[in-house]
Amino acid sequence: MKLLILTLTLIFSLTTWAKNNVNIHVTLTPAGSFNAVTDKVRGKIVKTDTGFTAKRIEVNIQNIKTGIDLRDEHFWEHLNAKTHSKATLTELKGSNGNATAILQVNGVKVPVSITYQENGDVVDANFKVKASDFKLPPKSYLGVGVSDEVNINVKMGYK
Amino acid sequence: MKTVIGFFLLIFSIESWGYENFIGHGYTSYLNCHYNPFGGGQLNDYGRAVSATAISSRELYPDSVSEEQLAYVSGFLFRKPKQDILRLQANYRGFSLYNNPNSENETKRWMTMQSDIRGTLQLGKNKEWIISGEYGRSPVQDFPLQEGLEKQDYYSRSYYVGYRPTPNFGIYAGLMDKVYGLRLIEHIAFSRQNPRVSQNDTTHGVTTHFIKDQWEIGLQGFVGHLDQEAPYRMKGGSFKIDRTIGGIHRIGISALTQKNDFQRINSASIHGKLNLKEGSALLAEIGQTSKKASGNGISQDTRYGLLQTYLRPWRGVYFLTNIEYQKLNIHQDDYIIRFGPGLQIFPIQRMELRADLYNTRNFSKDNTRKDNWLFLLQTHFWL
Repeated sequence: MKLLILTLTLIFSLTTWAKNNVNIHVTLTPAGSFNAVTDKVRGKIVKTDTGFTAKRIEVNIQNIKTGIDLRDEHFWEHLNAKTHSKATLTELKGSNGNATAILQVNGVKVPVSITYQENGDVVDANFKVKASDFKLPPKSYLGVGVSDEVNINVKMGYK
Repeated sequence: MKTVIGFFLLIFSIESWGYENFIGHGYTSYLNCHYNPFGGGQLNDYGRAVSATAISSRELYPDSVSEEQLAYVSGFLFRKPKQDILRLQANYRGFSLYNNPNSENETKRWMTMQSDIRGTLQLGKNKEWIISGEYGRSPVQDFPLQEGLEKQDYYSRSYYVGYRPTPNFGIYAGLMDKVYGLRLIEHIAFSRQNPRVSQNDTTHGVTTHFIKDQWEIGLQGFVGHLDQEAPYRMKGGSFKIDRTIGGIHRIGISALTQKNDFQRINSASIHGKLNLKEGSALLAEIGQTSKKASGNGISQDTRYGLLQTYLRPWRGVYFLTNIEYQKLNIHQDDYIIRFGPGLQIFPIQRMELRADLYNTRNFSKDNTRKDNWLFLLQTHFWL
């Protein structure tokens, strides 16, 4: 019985964990794109009478994967992960599909405007940011660069 | 027998690298990895680094070798070039080909398909000028590569000058491939053979390339291969328009018209590339070609289709499935299906091993031998 409860708990927690996902869509120049993704998202979103709030949502930068190991290293380096290991979203308040929050990357805090929708018990949120707003310099590697503006999608289960 | 082998050599010649399926790694355009924005030919520095760190396995390297080091040694002569002007690449590709194995019609042969050297000069403040070309031993010294060409022991498949005043626009002039459809490595593909855009259909011409946001457009005018006897030269023009959808996929259309003293060929196709993530991809193309003979006015409309999947279970390994369709005359019932699995392995950077099995089935009332089997093993090295 204990084993069954443990197994069910584990399955349930994995299911809950799998709902959380951050996907950063980065456009390459001259062409192409990649997605930097992590499902290791800490924090929780709480449903209120008027919408949603969250005190703090965070990801460890070095948990973000781009599909190519070398690109992972460049991505972490570009986001200055050694000095500022986490990206955080704080003071999240939303209602009627629109939200605001403070995004901190590279130690720089920038207010962001977010649109979201509810899909079952998951909040699916999208926003755009500019790397330059976080004092991240333009980056290129052997002639291929990344665009300043990136699209971020966050999916999180809520309580 | 010599003729049979020569025929296979011609149709199975494979150009170096330029795989549409790398959209599965997020690369919607060839421009990131090749000097030629429509693919094929020499890899640029970024393309070499991607081949070493994303395409090739790292199982044979010790953990102490970093990805950065793998990228560093991906350059010609195993190091990062010390100058920015000249880039070189050398290729060798060999085939083992088994046709109808274990039957009375069996043929098998090892063939050197490609042994060439490529060079690109990058000039100007922002490397906006390039002069690129390749030269190598012909895989079929006993046969001309195109109708109306001399037999050649050594030949050049491409050479051109390119000018790219902005990242969004470039113009290229010289001997190049025609701009049309999905540029598959399999030149046996119906989608390459019918519109005559295979590796030996290169032509002298001028190509413009435009890329911005979600759009990529190619426009080409050509006068045929100038080494051909004049009546054989295919003159005409083509365009290819691609649009990125969903940020990671591509759909496009192509059209091509060409004419020599013997025939006119008009072709059009729609094509798509889906990024299935983690290096996996799905490619599809459907098109139609109309051929009309100049002398008697007889015409034939051919329809073709292609579906290819590339699944990447782990780095360095791709499982392929290839399904092709051809209806040589759309007004008749006969058609051909070609189907086969394949395995492509990049065990270490600069090395590609590939095995393909093709079954070609002819759905014709009059054809007594419906199946043709072909097994290909190929080895490709580059420096």
